[in-house]
Amino acid sequence: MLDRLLRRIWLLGVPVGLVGAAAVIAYGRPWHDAPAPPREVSVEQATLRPGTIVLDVVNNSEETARVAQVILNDAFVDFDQSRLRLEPGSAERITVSYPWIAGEAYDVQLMTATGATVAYEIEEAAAGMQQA
Amino acid sequence: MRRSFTRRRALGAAAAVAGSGVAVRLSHLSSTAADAAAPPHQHHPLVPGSSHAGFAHGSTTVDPQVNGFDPSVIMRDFDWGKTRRLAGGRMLREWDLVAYDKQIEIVPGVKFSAWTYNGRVPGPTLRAREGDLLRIHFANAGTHPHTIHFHGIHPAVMDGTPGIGEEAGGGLIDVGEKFTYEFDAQPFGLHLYHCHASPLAGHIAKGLYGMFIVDPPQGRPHADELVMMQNAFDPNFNEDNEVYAVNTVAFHFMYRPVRVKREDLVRIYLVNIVELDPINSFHVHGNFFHRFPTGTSLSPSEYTDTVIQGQGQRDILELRFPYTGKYMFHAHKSEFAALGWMGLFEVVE
Repeated sequence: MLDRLLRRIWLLGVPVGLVGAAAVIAYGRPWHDAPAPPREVSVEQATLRPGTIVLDVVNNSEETARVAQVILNDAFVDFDQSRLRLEPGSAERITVSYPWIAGEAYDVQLMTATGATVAYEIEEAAAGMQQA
Repeated sequence: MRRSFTRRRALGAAAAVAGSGVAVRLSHLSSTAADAAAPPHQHHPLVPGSSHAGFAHGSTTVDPQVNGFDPSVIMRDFDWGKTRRLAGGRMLREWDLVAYDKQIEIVPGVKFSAWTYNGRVPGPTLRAREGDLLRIHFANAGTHPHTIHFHGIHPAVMDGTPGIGEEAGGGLIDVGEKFTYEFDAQPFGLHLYHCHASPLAGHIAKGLYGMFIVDPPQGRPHADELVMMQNAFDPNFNEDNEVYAVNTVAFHFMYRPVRVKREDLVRIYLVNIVELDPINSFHVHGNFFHRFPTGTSLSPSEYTDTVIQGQGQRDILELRFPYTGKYMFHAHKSEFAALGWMGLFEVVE
């Protein structure tokens, strides 16, 4: 009984494996060789709570960055940040005090110390987490 | 500032660039990574509830030591030049202006690679009386060819325009070269000077501009006089300004109010040098002012509380504050105000 079950599972595995191999051939590379993420500073996700927008920011570049200002819908806004220097590979949390309105769109620009900006868009504001 | 998600600028060799808004998730990141970082740094405005700006290290404005100039000092700094009476009694005024590159801080924590006249933005406020003879000795110590183009009435060779007057050593002034602009101070009014090298918008937006004031021969009534150069910066080079100000540092006068005395005559020299936006404006709270367009008439054209200016346009504004207290002044284009172009008068006895 157990042998028959194992055999069926093994037989089932053959077509699954074939499909997987075909997919690898079709796409030209195995699954673990996915494109590397862009080497940049970016907002990974936003979490909206009443009067607050929390931004999780990652630095996937090779240089230390520093978020010096936050521009939200063409206005500098108040914010707290969990660290001043954002080392390569590190993350920080930026908490913006802002009376966002449900259903509206928000354009976020993180301005670094050099004046470069990191853009992030909240397409339709709603309480909870929004991933990029 | 127009919103754009397509035109972005690399952060030098660094890859800290503007993203597309479609950021890539990284599996190693979690909220705990951020939570475990240093204690939170708070960025709060001085004016409670104003939501005007976030500031680094708890500071509210740029330390004048960092830039080597102070917007509050620039506001009341008038450079009458080195003077000498010529035969016949005419006044000769001379200035030395040097163009050179300089990093300046335009909003707390954000540096901008500026081009300056004499290391400041705006450049010195040159002031004369109508009919004076003026000589401006210009040296280009920058990294690009520059000029000084004065608004006013003068011969073509002194116009500071590339390709014009080069036979006399004028026109475009190469790096390391010098030229002396010489002309009569006319007409009286509020004028400006700026680099006219190509690309023009870039040379102006980098900071090469200043005020040029010509007083009427009989002068103007004594007043507390203030220089307000409306300017803006595009630090991410996306052809839109992100930072606006008077006298360069965003929000400076929110934290260093302009102190004036009740009932004193206040005279504002207002110039709009903003590139990349077609208009700018000035509005004062709790008061009205007399407007003298270009300052070329001694009779005001309007009594109002808001004035609109195109690029290169200027007005002299005169007002007295009848009440003590704090009164905002700002661009009435709200976006510009929220991006730094706002300040306070503090009226005292």
